[in-house]
Amino acid sequence: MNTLDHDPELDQRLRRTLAAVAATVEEDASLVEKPRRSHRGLAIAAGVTIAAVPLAAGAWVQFGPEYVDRIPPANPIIGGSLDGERYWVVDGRELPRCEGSPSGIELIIEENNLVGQEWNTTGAVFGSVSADGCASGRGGEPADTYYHDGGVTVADGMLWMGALHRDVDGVRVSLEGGDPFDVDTFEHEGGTYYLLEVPSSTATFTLDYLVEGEAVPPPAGEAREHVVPDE
Amino acid sequence: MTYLDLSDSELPVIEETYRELRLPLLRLAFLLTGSRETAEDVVQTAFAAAHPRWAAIDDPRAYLRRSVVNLAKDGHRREFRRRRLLRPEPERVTAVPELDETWALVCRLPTTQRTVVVLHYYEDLPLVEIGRLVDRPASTVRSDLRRALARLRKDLS
Repeated sequence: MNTLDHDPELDQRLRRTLAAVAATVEEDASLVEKPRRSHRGLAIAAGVTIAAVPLAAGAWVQFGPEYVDRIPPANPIIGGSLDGERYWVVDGRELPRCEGSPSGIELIIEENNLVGQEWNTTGAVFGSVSADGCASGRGGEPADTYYHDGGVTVADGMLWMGALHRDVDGVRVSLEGGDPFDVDTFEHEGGTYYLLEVPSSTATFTLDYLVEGEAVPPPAGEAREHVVPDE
Repeated sequence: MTYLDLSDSELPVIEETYRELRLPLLRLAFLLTGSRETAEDVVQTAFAAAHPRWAAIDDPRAYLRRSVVNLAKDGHRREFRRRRLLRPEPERVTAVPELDETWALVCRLPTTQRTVVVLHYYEDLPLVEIGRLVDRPASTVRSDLRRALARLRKDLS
């Protein structure tokens, strides 16, 4: 392996910074006492085994008990790479098969899903999900599409995806105020979805959902413009 | 909160390891996640996950460090996997402006690059060992570090 072109000044600054920041984390005496000899010693925060954490009406994050057994996944609906990181959209595996309901989609990013580790994916489906796990896929207003999208950072870029209301027939995007363009949508088991690659170096983007060519105003609390986070 | 049962024979050893390694692991987890709460969760979970296989673990320090790195990555993703993401104000932690500025820039690195920077400059690990820890080829780790340093150098200039 070749040597790195180290910058001694930056190296030293990083070492000093990390040591100083780490030193701000101090021992809590009450915590040092754990685990006790009571057979109930180690207190751990629940969370790792949460199967599905609703993000919104139709989006979820899962940290399920199953482990990644193969990458690339079998039968991807679409796949690609962003900033050198591969990703795939697959059928929404965590939703039960409900007659008349879309199964949703699931986004698998390779860097987040190493073989042997727990699956760590993001899903989308339109409509609220009932207690038995079935998504309605219907109802609501076109503007509700704004509740059914979301993004995941990938390397220095971002993948943004969403599930569309049945009347929404287009998705228009502008990156950093540039010329707007339409995003390809795709169908999967009765639902319509899109996936947008937001390239690295993009700070903001604007997203409109269209019905017969007209942009649907976002509902209160939602916005057309999104900020790409600095991870 | 979930509680684990520990057998009498294992408990003294785990207790001792816990007392010895909790703080350094907590500091590492904080550097990796930027959240004291997440760091606490990560370290507790690492110990809890190690417990059932404690007898088979040859090097608890290395094992727990690897767990913390992997769990921190999960915790980090959870932090960022939100529908609407805003730029957080960097936390002033050291009261030294130069260090706080550098820390804020480290926090803004992509997860993998940040992990490599922390493991290399805080844990003093060689790139080959970092590669083993994060399941990436050493050449890729080197590329991660190069990109991170280039970004930091640019942001600091």
